[in-house]
Amino acid sequence: MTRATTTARRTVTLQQRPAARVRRRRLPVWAQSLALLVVLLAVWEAFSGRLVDPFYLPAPSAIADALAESAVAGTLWANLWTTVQETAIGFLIGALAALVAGIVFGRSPRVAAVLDPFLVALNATPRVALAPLFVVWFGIGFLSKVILVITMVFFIVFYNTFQGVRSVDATYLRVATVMGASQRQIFRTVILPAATPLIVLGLKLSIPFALIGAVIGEFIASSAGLGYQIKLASNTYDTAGTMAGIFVLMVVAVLIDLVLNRIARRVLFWQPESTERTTNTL
Amino acid sequence: MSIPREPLIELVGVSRSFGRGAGRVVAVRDLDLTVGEGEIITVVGPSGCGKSTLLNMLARLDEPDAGELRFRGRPAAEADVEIGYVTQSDSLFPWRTLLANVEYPLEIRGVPKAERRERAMALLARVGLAGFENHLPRQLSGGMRQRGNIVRALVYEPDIVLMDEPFGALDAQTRLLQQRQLQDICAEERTTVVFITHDLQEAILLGDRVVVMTARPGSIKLVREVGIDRPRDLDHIHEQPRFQHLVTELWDALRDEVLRAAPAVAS
Repeated sequence: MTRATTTARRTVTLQQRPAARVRRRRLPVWAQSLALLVVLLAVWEAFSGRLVDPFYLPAPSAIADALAESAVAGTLWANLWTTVQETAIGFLIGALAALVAGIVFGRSPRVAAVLDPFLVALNATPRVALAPLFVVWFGIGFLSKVILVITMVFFIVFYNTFQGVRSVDATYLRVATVMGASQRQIFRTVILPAATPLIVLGLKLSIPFALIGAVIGEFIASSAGLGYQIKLASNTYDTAGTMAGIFVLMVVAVLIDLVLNRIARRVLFWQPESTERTTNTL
Repeated sequence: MSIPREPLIELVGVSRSFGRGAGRVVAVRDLDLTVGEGEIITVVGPSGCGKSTLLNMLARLDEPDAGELRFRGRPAAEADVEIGYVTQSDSLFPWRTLLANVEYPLEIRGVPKAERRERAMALLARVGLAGFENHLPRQLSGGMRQRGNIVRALVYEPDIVLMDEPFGALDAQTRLLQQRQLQDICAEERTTVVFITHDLQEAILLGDRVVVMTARPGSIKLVREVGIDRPRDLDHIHEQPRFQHLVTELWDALRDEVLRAAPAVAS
């Protein structure tokens, strides 16, 4: 009896104390992140030009200057717009084609089996290696980048859609069939919603790759875009300009990720909250 | 004495096997059974006795490869009967709220929105789920989900409701409450039910007749009329001599089959 009471009291104090301490002493997480950022930038600023040659590692202030310069000149916005367009258009076409293909394949195992080796081979081919070929075929302009983005996006979305359509819990299909749903109704009301989590995951995973595709396309041959701007700066040993371009790409990727997570949470309202976050491969 | 009923389900020499050659497994063999309109048939048998195979054929998800299955005198595929199906595990669509799940069968039948809402809400209220209609399945307890499952199978007033161990995963108290609710609803709607269970007592307290199946290949070992008047007092039914007699008799029959099935399960 006494022992039980003591244990109970101890449990209570153990649970309460750290919580109280957190509330009293710690800043909110975002403030801590911000503080860390400020410290890192200050250290970087102090090192650059003193311990490290600013040619290799320009100070944050120098990068900000380069950024401001190209923003004022307007080149930043033009290049940003080009890259965003290539990414968005390539993503939309690639994702749409992949959705249709994934659904068709998922619904007809025969087609899937026949085409599977081709898909495996195509998917195994490093898409980056195709980029020079695309330049020859589609020119150095907009089109070759869009095509490269499509090839990057397609397989990721395709495989996720295919898996999503194939792995619908058989119980749901049986129940719907017995309740009298037609094949079309089953597709619309059971297969599609059940496949949505994987489809959304595929879309989320593919966006960073879409951006990679656009930038690599621009590296190889182009006259516009953030990749072009970065390449131009590095060709002239302008490390501050290069890093400014990289910084903009980073911001774009983070923004896209934020928007996507918000949309995903909307669409997948019925799924338990997950702490999973998109891995950004940029 | 039970009132003679119009036959709704007729199984005549129904067999079903799976696989080919040496791997061929006969799941059920020579099933003969007639289920009358409004009758509640419970089926017990050792695991692997083909209960699910039987249920799948009744659900028209599968066809017998010998014998005949008829609904109201017509071959199963052509018969104009609607079937409700309650699965062992809860199978509410996780992307729909409880209400939208219960409305689902009405929705695919094109029932107008106001009417399907009204019918779904009425049934949900009957099983004590009013106030939870806008919850998602994952926000409900296991017992609530299974009640939702049953309500979804009843809302379109099917001719036959098939239940595959619907209470198997529930704790004892929840199960008792659900058995009582099921009995009330079935009595009121005069629904024909084929109820599969591994729980002999449940089979007796819910069924008009109890079917005991043999170990694989599953066939019908015996069928017993329960003969206890409805509405049954589920709290005290265990004290009735008729109930105790049935438990003993059916358990004797079932035990042999369970023992026959056990080595097969172990190997």
